[in-house]
Amino acid sequence: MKNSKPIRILVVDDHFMVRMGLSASLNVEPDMEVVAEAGSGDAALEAYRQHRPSLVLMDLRLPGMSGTDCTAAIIHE
Amino acid sequence: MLPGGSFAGVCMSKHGTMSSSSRNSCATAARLFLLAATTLLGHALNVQALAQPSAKPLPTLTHAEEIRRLTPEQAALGYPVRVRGVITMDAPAPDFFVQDPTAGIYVEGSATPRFSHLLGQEVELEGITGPGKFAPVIREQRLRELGKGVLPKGQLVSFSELADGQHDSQWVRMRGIVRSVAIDPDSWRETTLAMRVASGGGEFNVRVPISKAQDLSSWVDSEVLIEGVCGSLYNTNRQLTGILLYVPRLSFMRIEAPARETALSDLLRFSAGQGIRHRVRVRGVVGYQQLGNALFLESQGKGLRVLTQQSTPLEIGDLVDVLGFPAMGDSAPMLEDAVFHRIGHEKAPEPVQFNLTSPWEEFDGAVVTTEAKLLNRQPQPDGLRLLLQHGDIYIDASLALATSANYLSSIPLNSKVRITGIGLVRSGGLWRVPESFRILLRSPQDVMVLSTPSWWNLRHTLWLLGITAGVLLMVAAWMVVLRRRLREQMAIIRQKLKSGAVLEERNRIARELHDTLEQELAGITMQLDLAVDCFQQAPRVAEQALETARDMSRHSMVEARRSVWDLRCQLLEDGDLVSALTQIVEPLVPRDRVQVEAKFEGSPVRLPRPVEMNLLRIGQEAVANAVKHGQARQITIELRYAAEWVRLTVSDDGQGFAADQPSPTGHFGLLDMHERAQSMGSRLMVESESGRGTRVSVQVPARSNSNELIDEELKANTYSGG
Repeated sequence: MKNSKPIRILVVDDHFMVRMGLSASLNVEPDMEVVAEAGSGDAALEAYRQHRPSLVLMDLRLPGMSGTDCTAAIIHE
Repeated sequence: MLPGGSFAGVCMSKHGTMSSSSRNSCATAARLFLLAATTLLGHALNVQALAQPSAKPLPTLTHAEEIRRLTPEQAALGYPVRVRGVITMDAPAPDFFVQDPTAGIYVEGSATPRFSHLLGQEVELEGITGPGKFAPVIREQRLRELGKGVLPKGQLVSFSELADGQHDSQWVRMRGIVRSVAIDPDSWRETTLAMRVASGGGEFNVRVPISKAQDLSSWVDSEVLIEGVCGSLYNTNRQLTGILLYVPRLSFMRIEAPARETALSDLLRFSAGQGIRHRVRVRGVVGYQQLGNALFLESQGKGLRVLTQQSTPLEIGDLVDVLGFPAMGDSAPMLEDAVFHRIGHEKAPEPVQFNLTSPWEEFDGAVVTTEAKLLNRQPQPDGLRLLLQHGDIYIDASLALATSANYLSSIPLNSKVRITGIGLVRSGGLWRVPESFRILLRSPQDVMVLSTPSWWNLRHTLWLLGITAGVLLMVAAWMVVLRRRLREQMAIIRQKLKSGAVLEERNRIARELHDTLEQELAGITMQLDLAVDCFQQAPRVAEQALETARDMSRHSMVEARRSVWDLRCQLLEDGDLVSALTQIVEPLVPRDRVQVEAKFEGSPVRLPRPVEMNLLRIGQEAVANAVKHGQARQITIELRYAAEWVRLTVSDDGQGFAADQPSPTGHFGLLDMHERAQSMGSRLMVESESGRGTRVSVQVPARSNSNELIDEELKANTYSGG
């Protein structure tokens, strides 16, 4: 096991329970760290700018901006 | 005195002729009657022998009076007759009159015409009785001349005495005034002078055989004394219809007073000592002539009706002299038996305006004119009759056939017309009051159309009313049908709406299941997965995950129950957000412990439904939290409507919590509120401090994003299908 920096993850899902479940599952892994959660596309973009995570776990169906659009916007950045 | 029906008769035709032909027909009729009694024709002795072979022979009658007393049936038996008397009328015909000292009687002469009967000759007459046509007669069989006899002294009788018929066949004397004189060459075997004489109560005819025609018109209006045999005019029922005096010679007429004239103004006025009406002379202008019947004159400004048989054609406007006998007309005097001659021509009489106020007799016989309404038109055998209305009275107008014209038939009924013509007033009743008014039209041009009837007569109006009523009825019926249709459609629509509402509700539940429950179950599953994974290495983490999963499932149970049974949609449909909020928090609050104050400011506006639903849920959750976790005693719900935004605030005086330390576990309600606020594009504000109570508020735009939100709702509906 490498003792390098853990993988920084942003979890995006519109339901908080799903986010909680995902975050709890990911956080128990020693090399993963959920740095931020977001419930919408806009919030996800803001969190991405703020935390610059290594990985974004994106729900495709979101209220407002869809997951696909949000992903495209993040890649564009 | 005399038994009924036993008067002596005059055998002649109804028209008073005594020609051979009529005499023959009389004889034939009588003989037929005898035949019926099974007697032989002609020979009396044989007749008696055959008819009454076993009965004792009939007695011989010797006086005229005896014969006159027989009934027609008795006379028909043929009693033998032997009478001695004087011939009182010897017209050149087979028949003659004979008068014995008891009475006068008619003799049906023997079949061979004999002209040897001489007036005043005394004869012995043998024959049999016959029924005659009016009174019993003698049928001549043998006549023996005895020499010159003496005519009886005639009894002076009046017309009314003659009128009962008992003087039939008797030699009488009468006094009267000659009304008309004419020569009649055709009706009798010989040339006859025919006269009409007025006497007492009536008029009678006189006939005198004359050898040659002579002008006796100067006799008119003379008072005369006439001697002759009284003949009767009768009908087929042996009923008397008139008197005809047989005068054997002109010498039996004597003028007692010459003609004299009376002025028109004295017509039928009372004047003492003037018993018999004399002829008057009148000069006037012709208003109308009914050829051979009547003349209507205007004389001294008044109308006068003149009855005349003179058929000299006259023109309207001709000035004529008229001689005639005054008589009582229906309402004004008129002239009868008049003669006239034309003496010039003048302007036609000016029509008199008819009016209801003047006495009607003013218009009798005059040319009158009036306006009237044409009510009816009726063709008659003798012309055309029009019924007109003038004010309250109806006027009968008639036009003779000869002058009838199509023009009159073309006038529409109910037209207003002006008619001009001769006024005829008919009086009636006990007091002879004027009862009806007629107008004699002289030509079709006497009717002038003033105006044709308005289209709006009763019939047309009724027609129109009927049509209108029909249309109204149809419209009403149509409306009823439409209403029923509408009701049915409404029922269908309501049904559809209902099923639509059910569908919508189903969609909502499906959406909630998908959006909430499924996600929550996913979350719970992940927590459980985590617990299973870490059970060995990190029991602390596993325990935490299990606790979280437990809390999550609890929350989900509540949410699931609410999403299925939630009444919020109904609440929002029934009322606005304000009333829905008040109602939804009520079951959450134990009344004995907690006081709820609801404050509403501004004028409520309806927000998009998802927004209202989210606000309702946030309010409900906040109140529930305050009661459940905060142990609040006082809860205030505040809903404030501003122009740009709507803000919901729920505050309590409970124990509160440290705002900077939100416990993620167990406070899913708070998380849910945050989520809802976020979905409305807003942010939930939570202010709390331990022991200081909690204040939750959310503010949403009042209008700006409404369209977007509606779009979102539509999208949500669409998603629910997938």
